[in-house]
Amino acid sequence: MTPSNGFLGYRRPDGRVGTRNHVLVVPTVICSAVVAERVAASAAPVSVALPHLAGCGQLGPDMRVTHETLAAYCAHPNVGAVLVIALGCEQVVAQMLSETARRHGKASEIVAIQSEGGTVRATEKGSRIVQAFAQSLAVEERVPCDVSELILSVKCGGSDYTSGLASNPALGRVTDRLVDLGGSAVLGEIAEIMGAEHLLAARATNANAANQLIQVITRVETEARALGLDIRGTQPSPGNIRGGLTTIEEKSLGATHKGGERAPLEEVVGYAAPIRKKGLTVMDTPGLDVEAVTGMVGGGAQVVVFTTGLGTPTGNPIAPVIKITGNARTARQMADNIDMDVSGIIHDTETLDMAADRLFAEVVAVASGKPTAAETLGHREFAIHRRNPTI
Amino acid sequence: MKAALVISDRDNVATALVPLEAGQRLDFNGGASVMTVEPIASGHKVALRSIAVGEAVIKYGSSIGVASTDIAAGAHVHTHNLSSTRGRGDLGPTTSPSEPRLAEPPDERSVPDKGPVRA
Repeated sequence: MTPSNGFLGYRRPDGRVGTRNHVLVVPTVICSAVVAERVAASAAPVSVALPHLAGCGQLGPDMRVTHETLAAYCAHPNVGAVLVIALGCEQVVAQMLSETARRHGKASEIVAIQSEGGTVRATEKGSRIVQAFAQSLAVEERVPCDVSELILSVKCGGSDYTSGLASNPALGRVTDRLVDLGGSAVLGEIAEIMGAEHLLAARATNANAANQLIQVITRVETEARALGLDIRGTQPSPGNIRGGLTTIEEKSLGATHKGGERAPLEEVVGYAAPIRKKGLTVMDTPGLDVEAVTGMVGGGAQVVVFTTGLGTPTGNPIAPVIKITGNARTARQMADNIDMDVSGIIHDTETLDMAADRLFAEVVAVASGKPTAAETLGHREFAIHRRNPTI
Repeated sequence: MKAALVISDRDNVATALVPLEAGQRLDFNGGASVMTVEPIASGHKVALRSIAVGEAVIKYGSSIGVASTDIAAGAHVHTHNLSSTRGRGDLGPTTSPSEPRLAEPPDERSVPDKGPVRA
C-alpha cells in the first residue's frame, strides 16, 4: 500500500471503515435534545450529540426520513458506540435506533427521561454510560485501509466566482482520482445541478440513473412552479449575486465541477439513503448546507470536502468537513475556518492539478485522524431535511 | 495575475479576475479581444461580443440564461441584463421547460475545448 492510496481507519464489524471513532448521543425527539447535549458534553469531544428539531408531530414520508436519518447515523462507521436519549411518548422509536447500532456491531444503550425520573437523573445515568463507552473506544486502534473504502461527500457553499474557477474544479479532480482508485463520491443539492444536468446525465452508466436525475431536478422546478415563485429568490443567494454569479445555471455549472469531469454517475438515491455504489452517486438533498451535509453523511460518507468562496463554518457531528477556498481574501479573513487555500489557481501561481494533489493528500491525512478546522472549532451542525409541516 | 478569464472557447462572456475600469482593453490568448465599456467588479462578467436580447449567454461552454436586453460588447453582464430560464414559477407554466434537457446542447462533449484563456 502506497501513501497515496492508503489511510488509517477504524474497521467495523459490519465491514465498513470509519475515519473517526465517536460515541454518538442521539435524542429521539426535540424534547430530549438538551439532555442529549449535556450527556455528550460529559465525554466531549469523543462523545457528540445529534440535536434536532423533529421526532414527533410528523406524518408519512416526513417521519420516515427523520427515523431513517437518525438510524443511518447510529449505523455509521465513524461511530463506535451509541446512546439513545428518549423522552418516552414520542414517535421515533428508541429501541429501533439502538437495535440498528447493535446490528452493526456497536455497543448501545437507551436512557428515557420519563422512566428515569427527569432531566437530572437521565443526565447522570447517560453521562456514566457515555464515559464507559468512551473508555472502551479509546483502546481501539486505527488500521491500514484503502482509499477505495472511502465515500467522499463533495459540497460547496457560500459560492462566488472563484468556486467555479478554482476550488470546485480542484475538488473535481480529487473526485475523479478517488473514483479511479475504486472509491465513491456523493454529490447533493439538486437545485444546484439545475442547468448542468445534461453534463452529469451524459456520464450515467445506466438509463435509470440518468432518468432519476432528470426526475428529481424536474420535481424541484415543479415545486417552484406550484408555489408560483421565482427560484431566483434563493438561487443564487444574495451573497452569490454580490460575488458575481447571476443565474442558477451559472452557479450549477460551476458547482457540478466538484463531481469531477469523468467519474461515472452510477445511481441517484433519496435523502440520507445508503450509498452502495463505487463511482459517483447523486443524493436528493436541498441546497441548504447543513441539511445537505447531514444527508450525505447519513448516506455513509466518512469525509466531506466543502468548497467555499465567501467562507462558511459548517461542520458535522461525526464526519470531518474539510474547507477549501479559491478566494485569497476569504482565506485570510476567515483563516480559522479554512483548511486549504487554493487561490493560487486564480492568481496563476498553482495549477489545478497541483492543488488537487495537495487536496488529495489532505483528504487522506484527515481520513487518518488529522482534525479539520471545523472539528477544532467544535462546529457540529446537524439538521434533518423536512418535507412537510409539523402536525 | 491575469485581468480576465474565458473558460471555454464557446463562451460569449469572460470573468474579471481583478476590478476592470471602463475603456480597458482585454486581449485573450485565443485571439479574442474586447474593450470594456463600463467598470466591472472582480468576479463579475464582461460580454466578449454584442449579445442580442433573447440570445443565450454562454459560460463554461453552456447556457447560463438569456439576455434580457441587448448587451454591448465590453458591457457588464449580470442580473440587469441576464435572466435565468430555470425554476421560474413566477413566469407561469408556459415558460417552463416541458421536457428534460438531456440532449441539449448536442455538441457539448463532441466539440474539443481548448480550455481557459486569460487576458
